[in-house]
Amino acid sequence: MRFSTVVVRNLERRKLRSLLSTLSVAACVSSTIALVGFSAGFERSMTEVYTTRHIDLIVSRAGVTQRLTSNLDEGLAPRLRDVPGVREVAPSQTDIVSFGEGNLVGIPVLGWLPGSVQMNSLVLTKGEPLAAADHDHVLIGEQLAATLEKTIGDEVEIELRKFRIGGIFAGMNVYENMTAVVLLPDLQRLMDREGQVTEFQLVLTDEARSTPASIGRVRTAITALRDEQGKSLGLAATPAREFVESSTEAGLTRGMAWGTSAVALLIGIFGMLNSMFMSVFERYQEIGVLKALGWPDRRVVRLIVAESLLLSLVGAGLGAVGGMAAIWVLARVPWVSGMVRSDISPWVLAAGVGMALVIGLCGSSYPAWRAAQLAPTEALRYE
Amino acid sequence: MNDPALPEASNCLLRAECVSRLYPDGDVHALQDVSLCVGRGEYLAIMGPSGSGKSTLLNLLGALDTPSSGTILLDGERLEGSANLSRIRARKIGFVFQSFYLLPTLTALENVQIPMFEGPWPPQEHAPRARELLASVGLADRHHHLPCQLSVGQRQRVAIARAMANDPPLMLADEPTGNLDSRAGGEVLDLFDRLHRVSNVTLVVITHTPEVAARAERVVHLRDGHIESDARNSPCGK
Repeated sequence: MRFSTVVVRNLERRKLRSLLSTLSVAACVSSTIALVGFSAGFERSMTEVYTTRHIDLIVSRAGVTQRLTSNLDEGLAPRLRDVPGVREVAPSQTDIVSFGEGNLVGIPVLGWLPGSVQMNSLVLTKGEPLAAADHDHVLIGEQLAATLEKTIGDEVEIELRKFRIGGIFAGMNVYENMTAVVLLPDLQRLMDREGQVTEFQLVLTDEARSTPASIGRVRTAITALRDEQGKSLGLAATPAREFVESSTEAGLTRGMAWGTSAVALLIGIFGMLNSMFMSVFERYQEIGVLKALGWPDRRVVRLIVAESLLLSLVGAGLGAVGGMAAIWVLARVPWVSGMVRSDISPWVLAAGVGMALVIGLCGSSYPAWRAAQLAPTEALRYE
Repeated sequence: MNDPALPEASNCLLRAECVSRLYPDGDVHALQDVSLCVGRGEYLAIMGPSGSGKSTLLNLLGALDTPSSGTILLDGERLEGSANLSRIRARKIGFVFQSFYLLPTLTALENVQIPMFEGPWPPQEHAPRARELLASVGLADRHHHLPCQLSVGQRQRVAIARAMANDPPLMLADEPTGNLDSRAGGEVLDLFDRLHRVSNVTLVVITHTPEVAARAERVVHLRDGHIESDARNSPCGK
């Protein structure tokens, strides 16, 4: 007989309690996987907006973590283009707007120049890229078009101003599929930010992007730019991943995901503690018998901890399936589908399994210790 | 009253010297200055009325409890203060309880293997040895029965097989026939006789019943925490 047989038989005895404990862990794990997966997917989607266009650096106002509040003079573009190693500079304005139809709020709208690297990278399924004369025209992502139930030639209302749909594009990722693109001057006018952009997106030369050191040299040169009076321009040049990770939006999403997961972890630990205490309490006499028969304290501890870990690992398996199912469903809900990816990275699954192990260990350590401390004579007297 | 035929000190498997056990809660002296030598291969019965200290003595001899004062040696090893009490219990002592204390979720075969986790046998030998032991107590056809599927007599026989799992030199039995009818009780006592005779196991049995004590070679009577008498049974009485 293997030691694991004793573990499994003990869990089988109280099937309902074992099932409920497992489901409790599964709920904690699935919520963690869903929330952290959501957060990580959001960051990846945001990062891909840049990386899939081969944008190497984003220049924004130094010290500004919230992308939308970065405010730069559009006229800086030529100076950035003169920095050694910079091949292309593309100004970009980003705002979050509401669409009148469908009562959609929180939709990112991007202001780009015609012929820019961003505009040229759009894969249009209908219509043409915006040209300089296409004022009050908008290109919308496929998901957004489906949500709005609009097609090319239709009008949409953005922040109470009418735009004609000039094209529908297949976004490079789920996030982009829920965005809209207008000409930069149109967005500047719409948001009363004429002559200003939120960021410049830079494509470097092959040589400059070849090593971290050469990228670093370009970053240093940009942050060292000064105005005519010798005063620093206050620019930060950040690689895409770092830029997204340090943004307030990503930080908030990440913080909420991990914060909620931490609460779920605590609930899971207390649930497991309760369950394992009940289990030990009911088996005082049996534990006394095991100790009388020569089981040392460490084997009694192993028994209780192994029972808890087994429940937790089964819960982790169920939770992983549940979490992936939740993400899959979320990715198909129109209201949030643009922000959620249905693929979950292995480290998010690992975080869920790790959480289950923490629940198993923390939820059983004290009951196991109490069981080990039982005096055999006391335990045998217990009825 | 001491019998001149009691074992020599040099032949003691189990030796208690001036052992006392005080329960501070009730300020009760359950045992007071008890000295006892149980020889190797001896079959000893301990009798006495309720509250005389029988179970306390068994707990102390079985390394389940520690004396308030005095010394207990098992096979030359001091029990009090030993860091290896669980190992001593696993390897040197087999316990048989009045209420059997089989684990309800494990089959007879699995119950017998419980002490083997801490025994000298490699894991692959556990099951074959457990089968052998169950066969030796007449339960070869009950391997896969749960305790609730066995009669009380059969349960006690499984408990005896379990007590023999690690081939201990000493077996302690606390009222082993207390929950059995006379026929099942007789079978258990026959098993003890055979263990004692064939395997030369040292047996210490606590009992209220003169018929059980009559099977032993020697009977110790306890009263109020003291040894009242310690004498060999007459061979004719067995």
